[in-house]
Amino acid sequence: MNYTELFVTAIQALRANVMRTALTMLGIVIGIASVILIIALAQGATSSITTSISSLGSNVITISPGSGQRGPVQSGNVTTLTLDDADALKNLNNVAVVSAVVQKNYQIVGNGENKNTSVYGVSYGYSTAQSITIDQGSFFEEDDEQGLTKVAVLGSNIATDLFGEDSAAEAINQNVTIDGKVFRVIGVTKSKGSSGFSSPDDTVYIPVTTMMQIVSGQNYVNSIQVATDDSTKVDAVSGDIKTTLIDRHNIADGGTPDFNISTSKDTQSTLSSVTNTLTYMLAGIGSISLIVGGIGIMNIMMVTVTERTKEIGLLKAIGAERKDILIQFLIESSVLTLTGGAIGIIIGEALAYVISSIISIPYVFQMSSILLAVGVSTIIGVFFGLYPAQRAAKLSPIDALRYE
Amino acid sequence: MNKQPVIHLENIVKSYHLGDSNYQALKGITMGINEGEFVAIMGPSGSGKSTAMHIMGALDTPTSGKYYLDGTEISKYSEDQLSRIRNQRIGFVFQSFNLLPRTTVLKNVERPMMYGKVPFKDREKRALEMLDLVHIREKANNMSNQLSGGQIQRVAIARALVMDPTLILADEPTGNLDSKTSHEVMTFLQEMNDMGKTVVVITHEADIAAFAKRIIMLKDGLIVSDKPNKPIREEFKEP
Repeated sequence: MNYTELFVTAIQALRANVMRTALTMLGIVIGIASVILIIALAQGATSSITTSISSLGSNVITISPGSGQRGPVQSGNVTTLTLDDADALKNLNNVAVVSAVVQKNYQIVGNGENKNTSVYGVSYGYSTAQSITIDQGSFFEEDDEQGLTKVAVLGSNIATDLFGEDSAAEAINQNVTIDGKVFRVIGVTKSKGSSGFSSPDDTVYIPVTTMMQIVSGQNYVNSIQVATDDSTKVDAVSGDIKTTLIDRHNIADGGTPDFNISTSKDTQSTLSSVTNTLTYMLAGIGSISLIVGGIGIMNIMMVTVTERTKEIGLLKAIGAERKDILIQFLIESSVLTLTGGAIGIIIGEALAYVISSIISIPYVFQMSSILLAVGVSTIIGVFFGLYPAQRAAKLSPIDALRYE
Repeated sequence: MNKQPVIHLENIVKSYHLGDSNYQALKGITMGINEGEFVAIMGPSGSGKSTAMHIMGALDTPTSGKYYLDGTEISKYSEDQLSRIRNQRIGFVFQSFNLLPRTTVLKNVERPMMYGKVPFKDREKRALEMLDLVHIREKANNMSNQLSGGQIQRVAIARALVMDPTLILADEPTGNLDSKTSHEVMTFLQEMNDMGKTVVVITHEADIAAFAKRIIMLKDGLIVSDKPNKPIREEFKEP
């Protein structure tokens, strides 16, 4: 048998009833397009999240209190990290910056406006570790930290909210009150845009020592951030931090540490596993329409076989064997699904391109999802075409020739 | 002429189940048709002539009895084996639905060669030769639905010849044609017979049977007469 000829024959047969062919294909087109679209958008979202996480710094290690075990929160343990712990980590190899972080929400008042926002007590190195860029003024220095000065760096949104649009510069040297204490504004950050979590644009930074002793009055820190001088040393430094803290906290060998170390790589992999799960779920929903489309193909192929009973009888009379008839109808259903799949791929990718740019995530073109779509369409064509094709192949030539 | 038996039927019985009862369409037919013969099989409806055609054409197998085609017993062949036999040894001309729709005349004639695994490059040349024989080469690239009834039957004859079969089996080939076109088609079959092909025509029309050299008459599943054509021409006219 010559497959080129069979393809031509199949296309001729499908062209004989254009409307029916188009409607039958539609199910496959919609199914493939929606799966392609979902995968492309999910990939775009993932890569956008990945980019924003790595912008936080791939060399940052976060130490938070608590055992990190699943289950009930061990509330007694959340006070285990102290400023002394943070100081101790400064002496480790390959450590560039260490910053204790104390975070609490406070009412902030300035220029007659007030706003409830997140206040971060951080060390002077925090801006480097978190790549916070300053638009106006400057971040505080080591002296501010040691001298318990009451200075504040405002997130760009806070500055706008308190002092008005386009007036970040006016905020500098103005006074604001945080929890009733007066602070002098020394800097405003450059807008970073939402990164999906608490936005740094909505944050106020003050020296950690001032925060602990004057504002919140606590002797423990919420987390410690360590930036390494080399992003390939993250794992080694993590290990050193663990050893140091286990030693400082007098935890017995094999005991559960009362702190938790995570790197931005960990956060990234957690997030991508979440987005992957979502992708699979949505793609699964999309593929339901593929199955429905496949049933449509099967239905139409059954009708086609019945309509062409006489033709099948004639083909058998002039020498077609069962497999010849089987292959002919399988090719016909596969051409149907493959064409539908191709149209679906084009529509899906086009929609993905348009929607990605509308919701401003990167458009990710993946060859693997194209290949998957082509594979799936072929499988649907063969799978749902098989039963009708077998019915055709099994027709006895005289019954088929006699059929009216 | 040295004549080989092309068809040899030995006590062929074909019965069908109709509900609880058993209907015998052929009740034991024995006959032979030699190479180069032109035979008409006649009979009223219900005589079993269509069933006989199906068995001779290897479209169906007998319930009992033996069928030798070209000396090979094929009565127990599987469906796919019969497909190959039909492809290689038998050329069909049916009453209606002879040509594939949506397909050109040329591709219709080439189709048996596709199943017969004739190399692609040889197919067109051979199909055109056959179309020449029935004087319809100029229609080779027309679609099959653009032809008249007589032209369709001529293309069917060309297709029947294309695999160089031992037997041409025509089942009511003129059933849908006017008498002038009928005679034209029968003349072509006669020409093929003159070229040495064995031709069997199933018909209920006496003037069509008249083109044959031998007439076999069936009635109620049995052969009631089997005679050379000439002297008995009048006898077989239908009432």
